[in-house]
Amino acid sequence: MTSAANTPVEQRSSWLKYLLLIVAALASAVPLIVMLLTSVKTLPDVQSGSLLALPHSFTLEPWLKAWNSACAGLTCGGVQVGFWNSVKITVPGVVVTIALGSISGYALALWRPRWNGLLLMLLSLAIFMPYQVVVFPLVKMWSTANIFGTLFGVVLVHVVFNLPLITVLFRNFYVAVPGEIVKAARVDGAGFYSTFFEVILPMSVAPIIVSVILVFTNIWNDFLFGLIFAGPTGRPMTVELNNIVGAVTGEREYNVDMAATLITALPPLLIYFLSGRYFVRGLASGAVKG
Amino acid sequence: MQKVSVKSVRKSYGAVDVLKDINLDVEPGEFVVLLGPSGCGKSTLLNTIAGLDQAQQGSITIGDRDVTRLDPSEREIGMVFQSYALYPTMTVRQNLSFGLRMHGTPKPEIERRVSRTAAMLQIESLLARKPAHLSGGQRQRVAIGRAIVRDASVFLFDEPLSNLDAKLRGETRIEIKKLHQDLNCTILYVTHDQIEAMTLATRIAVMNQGKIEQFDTPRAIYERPATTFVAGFVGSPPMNMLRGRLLPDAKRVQIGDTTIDVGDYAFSRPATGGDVILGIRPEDIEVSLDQVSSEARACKVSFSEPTGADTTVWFDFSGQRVHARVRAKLGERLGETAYVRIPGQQVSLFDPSDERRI
Amino acid sequence: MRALVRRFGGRAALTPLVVILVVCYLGGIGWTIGISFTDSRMVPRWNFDGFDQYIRLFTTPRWITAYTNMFIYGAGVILGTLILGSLLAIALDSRTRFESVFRTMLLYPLSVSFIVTGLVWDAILTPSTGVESMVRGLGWSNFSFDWIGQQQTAVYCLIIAAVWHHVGLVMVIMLSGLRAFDPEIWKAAKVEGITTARTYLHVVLPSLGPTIMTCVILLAIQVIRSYDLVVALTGGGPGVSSDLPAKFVVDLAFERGNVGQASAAAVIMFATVLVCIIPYILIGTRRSEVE
Repeated sequence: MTSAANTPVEQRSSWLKYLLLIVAALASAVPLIVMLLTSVKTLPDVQSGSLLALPHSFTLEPWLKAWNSACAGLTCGGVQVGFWNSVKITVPGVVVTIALGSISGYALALWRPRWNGLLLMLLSLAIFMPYQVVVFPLVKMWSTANIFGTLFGVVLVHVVFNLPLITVLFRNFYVAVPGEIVKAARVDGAGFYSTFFEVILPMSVAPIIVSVILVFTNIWNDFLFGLIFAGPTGRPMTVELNNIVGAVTGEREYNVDMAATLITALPPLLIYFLSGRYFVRGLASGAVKG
Repeated sequence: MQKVSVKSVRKSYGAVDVLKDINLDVEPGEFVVLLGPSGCGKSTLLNTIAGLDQAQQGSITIGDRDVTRLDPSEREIGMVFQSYALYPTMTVRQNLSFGLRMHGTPKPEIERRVSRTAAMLQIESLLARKPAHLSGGQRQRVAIGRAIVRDASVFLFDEPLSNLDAKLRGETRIEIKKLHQDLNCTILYVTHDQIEAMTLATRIAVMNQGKIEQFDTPRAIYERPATTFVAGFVGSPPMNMLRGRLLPDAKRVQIGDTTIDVGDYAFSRPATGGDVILGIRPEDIEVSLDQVSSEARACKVSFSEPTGADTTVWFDFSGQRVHARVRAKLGERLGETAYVRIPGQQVSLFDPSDERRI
Repeated sequence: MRALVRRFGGRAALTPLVVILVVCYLGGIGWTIGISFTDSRMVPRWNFDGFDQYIRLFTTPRWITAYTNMFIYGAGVILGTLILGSLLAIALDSRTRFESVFRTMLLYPLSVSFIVTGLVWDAILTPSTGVESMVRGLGWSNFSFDWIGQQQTAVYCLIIAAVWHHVGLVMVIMLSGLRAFDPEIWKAAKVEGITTARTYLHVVLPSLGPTIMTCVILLAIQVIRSYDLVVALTGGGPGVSSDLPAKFVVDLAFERGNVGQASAAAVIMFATVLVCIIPYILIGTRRSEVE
């Protein structure tokens, strides 16, 4: 839908349009380029050269150091530990959230329980609420239940904060499923759970993909909950990263810092580049949280 | 095949009464059509019989079992939905066998029934396909097959032809009628299309606003409608409704300055005269160019609508508008006036106060 | 058994969700509101103190800074992303070649953590490693760009990083709004001889009200929630000049041992969010009435 670029005026604006897009794309890419360049320079190179200068001698040392031995305060184990912690937190978090979210969304959409309207309102409230409003009471609850500082505890926190959005996402998808399919399943003798696993779930590939992307990105990129709930040995990568870069022991090794930052950014970035339109759909259904 | 009995069923959604005291007895092997406009409750009644909706009062019996509190799958019914509701991620074979699997039927038995049903409906070549790769008519047959494969004794159809184009609708109608004969089953069929009702049904239940207005054979519904609603709903173009007065001798009706002889009318109760509504079908009105009988009256022609073989002509009959169906050839020759006779033997008389047939 | 599943299956499946909503969300909000009216310091205790916490809050310089920063930051982010995002969406709207390439390049910032965003922009904006040193290296030895180190301007650095991070989101939302726009109106405008630019300005954008509203709301929520970015980019500094409410709450509750005041601040944050959403909900219900 466009006015075809035929007249001279519109040709000119078409050129302007491409200029704007290219400049914006480059500006958008600059930080990534900076990270990449810095992470493959030697330290003297970084200090003497400028941000966007090409490396004089290409080296992967910073990456190795970032992974294995970068120091954050007293420990020098690199981001490796954080990486595996993030994996241990993110994978169960994604699985549990989607399992609960899909069946809850299905219950809300196709088996409309009595307090449907009320639940939806509460869900909207939950989606918009800033974490800081409930983070302290949650800490209290978690310590009372003896799960504060455990892996289970931090995974549970992520489930709590991602479930409302994912439930609404699945619910909106299932509302578009014709109700007669559920009726037919009832006539065929399938109950609530049989209908879900045999009929509905196979139809849910799209929302599942979108949800996986959304939840994975949210949990992997999270900082606040990892900081507060994860316990000293369970810290996710984002927390470790911040500690490493913020550590003020000796001189700042910018190249290692950038390498560590890149490693942290890589998983969701890869998912992003591979998933294309599913990521966009995820955005449309409620904005990637920060 | 089983009989279906609905006794005193009531259902409401909040403050709205959707079904008001429904009583319906369907004999084994009948093809009963629930006919009515949108919102009359016909689909709700079907869903209640199926067990998808619960009635607040009343009972439903299938055969000699009281099924009122049973799950749909335990009522031994098969159901065909308007949108077919085929499971989109399953093949035709899986769609057909799903219900049997849920019931725990042993695999060889499932195989046998699926093959038999597929053969009956000529869909054997489609068994490995998914619904997305089927045409509308093929999906219809799979939907019907899903009901057949369960060896149900009662089949429920919820407006199954609404999604088809006119040609396919006609063909599928014939197939459904054949199915009824081949399977010897009891069928309950919901539609708003009176042509489907008239051609398919052994008996029609005409519904309006949650009540059954008349439950009778198609012929009886057409010729002796029980209420003005039924009279106006069935038949196209619809029956003419004229306001008149039944004279005290109960043998003549006065409309404007004309009298119509209803001496042979079969009154259902003793009539004493008073205001009446006189109904006469367009094809029963006699129209001629000359005065062929003493009862024919000269009327002004308002306008005419040629529709191929016939023409519908609108007259001013004694101050009220009347439409008659005449052969096209006659329609062409009509001038500004014509002679119109309403034959008393063909009329239906209704009491204006309750709109019921007198 | 089957009847039990039929009756309770749905409710059983929803139980975890309901428990979470009631216990964690409603319970949490209630607890926070309650504690905000007490004199709790490190440990929460229920000695009611009236509105003291709130009064103290609004006489605390750090909070005043943080709260006003939120509006400055918010305005900057919202305006910046709306203007840039809309321009980019307009540019992409008209059957541009390589649309998906541009979109990919402009959207990727949303996939990385705010920590990553903060750390890399810290490197870019810090004079010794970033833009200032680069430009000086090119010859302009007097060039200075030290916003991040100055109290007055540290907040602007947050804005820059946040705009970079979010512009893709606005672009995508505006683009879908533009694409839903009736193409017939374009033809009508052409027939009347209105130029493309003016059509966009006077016809298309005004009708995109709800879409713009959506962007504003989503951004506002992000702004109010911003914690990670502050920690990584400025640490709230220099001093507390680039502090934001979210960081204030967490710092006070966990580091400074002042739960009562942190809760009061959190309640203010929550109220601010409500003020943002309520018009959105009202517009939504009004629209559905009109329909």
